[in-house]
Amino acid sequence: MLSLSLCRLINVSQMEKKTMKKPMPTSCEQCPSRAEGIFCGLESEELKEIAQHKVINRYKKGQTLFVQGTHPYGLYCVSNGNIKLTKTDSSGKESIVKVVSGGDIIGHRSLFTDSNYSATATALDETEVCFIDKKFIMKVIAEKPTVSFSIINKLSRDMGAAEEKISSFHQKNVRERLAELLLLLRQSHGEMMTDGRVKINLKLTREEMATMIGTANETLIRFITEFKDAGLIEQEGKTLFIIDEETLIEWANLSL
Amino acid sequence: MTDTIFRLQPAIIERLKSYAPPLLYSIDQAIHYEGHIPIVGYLLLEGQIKLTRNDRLKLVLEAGHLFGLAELMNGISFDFTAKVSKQSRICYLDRSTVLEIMESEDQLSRQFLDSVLCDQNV
Repeated sequence: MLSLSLCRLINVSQMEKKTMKKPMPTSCEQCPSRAEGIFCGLESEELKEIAQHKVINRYKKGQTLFVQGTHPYGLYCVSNGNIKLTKTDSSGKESIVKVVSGGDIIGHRSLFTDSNYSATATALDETEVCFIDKKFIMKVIAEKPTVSFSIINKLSRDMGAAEEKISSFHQKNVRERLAELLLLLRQSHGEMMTDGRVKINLKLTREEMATMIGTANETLIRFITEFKDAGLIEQEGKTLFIIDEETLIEWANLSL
Repeated sequence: MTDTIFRLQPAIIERLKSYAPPLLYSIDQAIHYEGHIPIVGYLLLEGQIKLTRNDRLKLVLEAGHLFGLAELMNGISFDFTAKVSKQSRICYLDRSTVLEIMESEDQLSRQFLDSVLCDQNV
């Protein structure tokens, strides 16, 4: 038998103290995003099995979940909060590929293609995320068709959004792209206020918004001013409100 | 202060390697950020990892060190940032692998994990 106690650098009493401080984990059944998540079709007992294999972490604004180019160990399920996925080019320029929120999964593409992460995931605000290791998620996918279908559904939506983005970048000007982004944010993070305005519950910097529509910071600021002057949007501090959705749809050149 | 970090003997390293093929990590790569529950446990086979807390160097890990595993299985945070300081080969042990070993016939690995996960909830 190995003399493990001699190898150990641990202070056991410290470990016991830490264990007592352990926060109560959120169960899958109580997850605020369960209805939108990939495990929405599973029964209580099946969710308990998932709970045994998951690691729950809370991230503060700016904290990193994983970095572009690193090895994926599993899948991340977002319970609540917002996470940006960014790509950095060889010159160090960063652009936002996507913003994900409660019910979304991240890291799945790298997992299935057995490649390193193609983007960096960073919390945009207080975020709770469950990590499920690759071995277990592959077993669940093989055994539970509802989970497989949910993942296929999410992948298909992602692909649709990516196609839209490509055509938007090729066919639309900056004004149209900004109007389109605001409408997308309205859909994903909008909250109807009693005064009829729609509050965008996602605080993005102007630089982040600029990278999302592929333009320079200064250009974005100029167009935001134009949108405000035209009465399409309002701004209170860092929060944006959508005032005139119909005109935004026109400006986005969307055929809804 | 060094929490649950172990230096393993060659026999157990060899055994654990069979469950988790090693990966190559390049210099400056961060593999864990302080304050979070590790998503896997890390066994350093070659190279060097620096552990920092609040940007201050606390410990340098070398071949044979295992860290993050007890925290992973207990659901508690590992309060150091772990960054590769020399190109490293690292094995990772995720929850499923640990649970698989605990249920296996591999007595040596099981005994080892029992001693690492001294006050377990698994």
